[in-house]
Amino acid sequence: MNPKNKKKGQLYTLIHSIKTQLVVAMLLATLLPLAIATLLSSQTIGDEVLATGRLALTSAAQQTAQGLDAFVEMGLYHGTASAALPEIVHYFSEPETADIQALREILKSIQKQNPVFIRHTTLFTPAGDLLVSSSSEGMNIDHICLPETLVNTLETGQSQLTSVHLDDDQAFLCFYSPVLKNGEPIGIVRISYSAAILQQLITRYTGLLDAASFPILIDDTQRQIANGVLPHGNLKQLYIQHNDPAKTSKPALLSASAPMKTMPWTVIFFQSEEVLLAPVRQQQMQSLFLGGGLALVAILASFWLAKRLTKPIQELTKTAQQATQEMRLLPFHIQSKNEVGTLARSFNRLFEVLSTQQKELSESEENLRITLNSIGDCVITTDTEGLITGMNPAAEALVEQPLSETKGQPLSEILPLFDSKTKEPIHDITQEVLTSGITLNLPPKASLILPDNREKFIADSAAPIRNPEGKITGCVLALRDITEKQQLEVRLAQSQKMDALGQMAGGIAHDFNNMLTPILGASQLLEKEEISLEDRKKFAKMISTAGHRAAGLTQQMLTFSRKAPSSMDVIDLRDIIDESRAMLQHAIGSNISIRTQRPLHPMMTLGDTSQIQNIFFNLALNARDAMPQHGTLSFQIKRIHLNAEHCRLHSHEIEPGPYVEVQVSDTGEGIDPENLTKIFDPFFTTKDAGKGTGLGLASVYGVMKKHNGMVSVYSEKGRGTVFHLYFPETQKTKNEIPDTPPEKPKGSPKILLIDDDETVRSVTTALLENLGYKVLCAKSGTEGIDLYKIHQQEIDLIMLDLVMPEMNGEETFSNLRKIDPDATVLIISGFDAEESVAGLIEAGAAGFLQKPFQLNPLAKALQRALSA
Amino acid sequence: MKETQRRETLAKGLNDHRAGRISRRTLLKLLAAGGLAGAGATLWRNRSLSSRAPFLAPIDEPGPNSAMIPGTDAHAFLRGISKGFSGKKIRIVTEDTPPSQATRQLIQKEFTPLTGIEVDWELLPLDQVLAKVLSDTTRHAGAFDLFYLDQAWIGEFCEACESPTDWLKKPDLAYPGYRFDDILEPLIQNISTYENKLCSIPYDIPIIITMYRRDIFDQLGLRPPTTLDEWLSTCQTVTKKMAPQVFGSTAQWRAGHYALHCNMTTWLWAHGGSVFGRNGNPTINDDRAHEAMEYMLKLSETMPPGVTNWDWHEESRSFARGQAAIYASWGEFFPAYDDPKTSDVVGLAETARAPIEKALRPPSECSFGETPGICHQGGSSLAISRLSQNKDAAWVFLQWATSADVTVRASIMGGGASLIRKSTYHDPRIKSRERVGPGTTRHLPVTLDAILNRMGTEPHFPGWEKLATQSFSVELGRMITRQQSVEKTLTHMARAAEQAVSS
Repeated sequence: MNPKNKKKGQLYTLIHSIKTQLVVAMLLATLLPLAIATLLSSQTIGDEVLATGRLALTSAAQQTAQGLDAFVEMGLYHGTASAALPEIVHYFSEPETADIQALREILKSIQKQNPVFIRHTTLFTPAGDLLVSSSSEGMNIDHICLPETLVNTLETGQSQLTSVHLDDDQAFLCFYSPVLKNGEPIGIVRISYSAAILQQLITRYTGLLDAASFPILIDDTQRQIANGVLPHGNLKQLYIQHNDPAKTSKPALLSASAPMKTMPWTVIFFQSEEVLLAPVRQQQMQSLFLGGGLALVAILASFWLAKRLTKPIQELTKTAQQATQEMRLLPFHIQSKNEVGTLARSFNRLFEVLSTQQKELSESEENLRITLNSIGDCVITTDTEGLITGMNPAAEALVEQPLSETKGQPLSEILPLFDSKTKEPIHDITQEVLTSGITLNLPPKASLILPDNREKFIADSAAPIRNPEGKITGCVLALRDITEKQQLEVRLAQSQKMDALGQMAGGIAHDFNNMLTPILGASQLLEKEEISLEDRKKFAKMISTAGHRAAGLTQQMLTFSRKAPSSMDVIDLRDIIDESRAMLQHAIGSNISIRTQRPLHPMMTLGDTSQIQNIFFNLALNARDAMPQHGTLSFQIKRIHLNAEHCRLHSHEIEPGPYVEVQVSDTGEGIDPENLTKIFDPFFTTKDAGKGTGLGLASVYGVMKKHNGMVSVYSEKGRGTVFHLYFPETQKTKNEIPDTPPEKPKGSPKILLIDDDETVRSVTTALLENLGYKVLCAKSGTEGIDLYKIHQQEIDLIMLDLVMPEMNGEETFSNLRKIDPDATVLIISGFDAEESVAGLIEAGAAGFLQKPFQLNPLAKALQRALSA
Repeated sequence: MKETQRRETLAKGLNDHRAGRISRRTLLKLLAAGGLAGAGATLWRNRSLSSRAPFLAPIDEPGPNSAMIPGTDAHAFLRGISKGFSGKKIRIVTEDTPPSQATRQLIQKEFTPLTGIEVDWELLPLDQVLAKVLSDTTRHAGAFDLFYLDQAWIGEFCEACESPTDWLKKPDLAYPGYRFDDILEPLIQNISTYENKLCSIPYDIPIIITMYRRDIFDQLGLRPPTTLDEWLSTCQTVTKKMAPQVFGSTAQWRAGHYALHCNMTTWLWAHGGSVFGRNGNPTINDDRAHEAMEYMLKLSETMPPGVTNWDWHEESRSFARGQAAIYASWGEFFPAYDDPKTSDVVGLAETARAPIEKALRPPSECSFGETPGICHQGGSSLAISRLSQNKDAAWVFLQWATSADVTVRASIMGGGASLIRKSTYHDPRIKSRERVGPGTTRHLPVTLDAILNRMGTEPHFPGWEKLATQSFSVELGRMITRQQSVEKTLTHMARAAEQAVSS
C-alpha cells in the first residue's frame, strides 16, 4: 500500500472509529443545544439590554439636564437676589451718595459664590451703559453685552440667561437680573460665568452609566457647548470644532437626548453600544467558554468513554492479532462488565470449547501423526494431480527416499508398481481413485521394484481424500510391504504343516506299512517260480494297487507340505475335502470321526489347494483340541448366494454374490462368548503354553481373505462350534487331461537318466525301455556329465534328479547347459521343490515330473519335453 | 476687632453654620474677617474617613506590654494612678476618625476601668472641632481638657495649650515605656511645634503617597515610575491604551477646592519650587512653578474628564472603581482598596516610593516653615488645654492614648490608620497585617518612608489658609478648567501671596 492510500485508510479508520463517532456525538449533544440556546438568548438579551440601555440613557440625559437646569435656576436666583441687595438698589436709586468701593466689594462677594467660574459681576444702566464691575482688569466688558437679552430683562422684569458667546479666546454665559424699584427696572446686574462651567457641570455626569458614557450639551443652533468626554481645553476651539454633534456621535454609540427646561438647550447622552452589550458579549464569551469547557469535558468524557469502550475492544483486537500471529487461541483478559466484557467472556467460553477441541484435534493429529509415523504400513498422500504431498516414515522407508525429495513428484515415478508375476507395470490406481472417487485395492500380486532391482511385495488400497464439502482433494494410499510377511506366512504354514506331518507320521507309517505289506508279500510270491501267470498278474496288480495308494498318500503329503505359494487354480472343494479326509483323520486321531457329505454338483472356486487344505487342517486340529475324548468333525458343503444385507452384517468383508459355503463343525465344548471375537486375532490362544501358537485361526482368516472369502464362527458352550467358510464360486471348470494310453516315441530316442537312487534308476529304466526309449544311466551328476560329454550326439533328453549328493540337480543342469545350451532336460524329483523347479524351467529346463511317476505320466512328460 | 470678640464671632459662625443658620459663604466671610482663614480651609480638610463608614476591626489585640495585661508596668501604673485620680473626669474633642473611635472604645475597656478616670470624648466633624476649640479658647471656658489640633492650627492655638515639654519631665506621671523619642521626629517638628515650641503630641498623620494598580502595570509591562517624567509617560501610556475604561491617573482637582492646592504643592515641590522663597518672597511664579503647572496640565490629559469636580474622596472612589492606574494621594485611603465593600480592585493596589523630585528646594530657602517634599502631609495632634482643671489626669490620658500599644491597637481597629511612632511600624501586630484584606497595613512601610524622607509641609502663617483656599485653589481651578493660562494663574497666585504676606 502506498503512503497516500495508507493515509486514506488511516483517515477512514479514524473517521469510522468509535472514538471519533463518540466525540462527534458528544459534541453535537452538548454544543448544539448550547449554541442554539446561546444564540437565541443572546439575541433576546441583547435586545433587552439595548432597550434598557436606551431607557438608562434617557434617564441619564434627563438627570444631566436637571443638573444643568438646577445650575441655571440657581444662577437666576442668585442674580435676582444680588439685584435685590440694598446696596445695589441704593446705588441705582441714589447714585450720587453711593460708596463705589463698597459697591465693588459687594460685587466681589457676589463673585465668591463661585469664585472659579464667576468671572465678573457688573452693573448696567437700563440703557445698557456699564456703571461698575467687580473686575479690576481692563477687559472690554461691553463686548459681552447682548442688547436683546438686556431688553428682554427690562421688559419681563425677570432674570435672563444668555447663550454662550465668545469673547476673544474666552466663552461666557451671563445672567442678567433687573434691579427694581417700586417694580420698575432701574438698573441691570450681570453675573458673567465662564462657559467652562458648562463643561465642569457636564463632566460630572461623564461615566454616569459606565466609564465610557458621556453627555454633550447643544444649544438651540445645534452647536455643541459642552462635551463630557473631553477634558477642559480651549473652549473657543471646542465650540468651533464640535459644532456638529453628529461628528461626535459615532455609529457605534447609542444616544438619548433630554431638553433643558430653563434654556433651549439639549443634553445628549452617549453610551457605547459595545460597552452596553459588553455583559451580553461577556455572557456570550462565558457561554463560549462554557461551551468550550463543555466541549472539552465532552471530548474528554467521550475520549474517556471511548477509551473505556474501545480499550476492551482494542484488547480483543490485540489478543486476536497475537493469537493470529502465534496461531493459537488466547483468552481475552477483559474485566469490563459491559457488552464487550460479555462478548469477551462469550469468546473465552467459545475459545475454551475450541481450545479443548483444538487440543483434542491436536492430540488426535499428533496421535495420527505418531500413529502414521509409528505404523509399519506406508501412507502416502497425493494431490489431485497425483503428485506426492505426504509420506510417513514407513513410506519413506519403503521407497527409500525422504519426503523432502519425493514431495511434488508423481507417485507413479516414486512408486512404480509391477505385477509380481508378469513383471508388467500396474496401472496407476491413484488416477482411478481420483476419477472414480471409490476406494480401490491394489492387485494382489503388486510389487515394487527398487532401484537396486530388489522386489518388494505391496498390498492394500488407495482411497480418495475429500474435503468437508465432499470434493476430492487428493488420494491416500495405504501400502504394506508384505514381502517379509509373505515369507513368514509361508514359513509359518510350512511349520504348521511339518507340525501336522509330525503328528501324522504315526498314522502315515501305519498306512505305509499296510501298503508295503502287500507289496513286499506279493514281491516275494512273484519271486517264486511256481507261481502261475494268473497269480503273477494278481500279485503285480496288488503291488501296483498298493504303490498307487502309497503314491497318492505321498502326493497328499507333498501337496500339504509345499512351501511356495501356489497359484490360484480352479478347484472343486468337494475333491479337496475328500482328498484331505485321510490325512485329517491321521491328524486328529481315530477317536474322532470325520463326516463328509459330497454334493452331486461341483463346488468350484478359484483357490490354492494347499492353503485350503491347511484351513481344514487347522480347523480339524482346533476341533480335536475341543473334543479331547471323542466327537465328530463334520464337513458340509453347499452353494449359497450372499445378499447385501448378509454382507453388511459381516462388515462388508465380502461382496454380495454366489459363494460356496463349507461348514466345519465339531461337537466339542464350544468357545466362550467373550473369546469369540478374538479367536481370529494373531497369537490369541486359550491353550496351555507351548501347545498353541495362536496363529492357526489367524492363518485361516488370512487365507480366506486372500481367497476373497470370509470365515465366521458360531459356537454354543457345551454343544460345539461351527466355522462357516465362504469361497467365491467360480463358473470356470477344471482343466483335466484325459488319462489316455501313451504313444510310442518315434524312432528310439536315447535318454540319459541321472539319479542317485538305484531303484529309481532301475524302475525308470524299465519303464523307459517299456515305452521304447534307449536308456543311459548315471548314478551322479558328475557321471551324468561325463556320459553326456561322450554321448552328447546320441542323447535326446536328459532326465535329471534334482536332489542328489555331491553335485545336485541344479549344478548338474548348469554344467550340462554349459556343454550344450540346447540340451533337453526333464527335471524329476520326489520333492515338491517348486522354487528350484521354476528356476530351472526359467533357465531352459524342458519340464518337471513329480516322483513317483507311472508309465502314462512319464510318457506324457517325455513327449512334452521332446516336443518343446 | 479684639481677640476675644474675634474668636467668639468665629465660634458662633461655626456653630451657626453647623446648625444651618448661615451658609458656608457667610461662614467664610466671618472666618476671613476674623483672620482665621486657615481655619476655614480645614473645613474641607476632613479628608480622613469621617465621610464614609469607618472600618473597625472587631478584635482588639493588646501587645505584651499592654496595660490590658495584669502584671505589666503599664497596668500597674494605671492601677496606681487610680489612687489619686479615680473619679476624675476629663473631656476631649477630636475629629471623628476611625482611630479616634477605636481609642474611645479602648478607654471603656481599659483606661477607665484601671484608672477610674472618666473620659468624655466628643467625636465631631473637623469644623465642629474647630468651633469647639475656638469657643473654648475664646471664652476661656476650660470645658475641654484636651484639644485636637490640625497641623494648620498649631500656630493659632499653641499659646492656648500646655507644652508637653514640661509634663514629660514629671516622673511620677511618666507612663511606663512611653518613650517620647520614639515618636517620629518629622511629625514633632511639622505638626506639634510652632516657632520652636512643642505645643502638642502628634496624633495622626495623613500623608500623600504613591498608589498604583499592579495588574495594569503588569498587563502593560510598566514599572512604578521613579522620576516625574516616567510618571507622566506612564500615565500617558495607560491612557492611550486603556481609556476611557482606565485612565493613567486621577486627582483631587476640584476646581476652587483646597484639595487641588494640596495636589499642586506636591508637583510644585517635586519640581523644586515652593510657595515662598527667602524672606517671605513669593516664588510661586518662578520657572520651577511654571514647569510644575505645565506638568499638571499634561497630567490632566491622562485623567478622567470629571476630575476637576473631584476632591480626595471622589478621587479615591475613582481609583477604587478602577478608573486610574496610578495616583498620589492620602495613604489613609489605601486600606479601603483591599476592602471588597468599598473597592473593585481588592488585592490589585500597591504602594510605591514617590518618584524622585526633579529638584528640591531646601527649607532654608523657603519661609514660614514651608518644607518642600513630594509627600504632602496633613497631620494633627492632641494638646492639653491651659484651662484644664485636670491637667495631670489629661496628661496621663494623653500618654496612654499616644502610647505605642494603644496607637497600634487603634490603628488596627481603625483599619490601618497611619502611625506616629517608629517602633509601631515594626510591631508584629502591624506587620502581620501586611496582607490583602480589610484593615491592611501594606501601605505603612511606604508611609513611614514618606514621613521620614519625603514629607512636605505647607507654610504656617496666619494668612496662609486664606491664601491657599480662597486664592490659590480658585486660580488653580481656573487654570485646570482652561479659563486662564499658567502664566496668568501664577501671576495671580504670586500677587495674592504677596498680599497675604504683607497684610
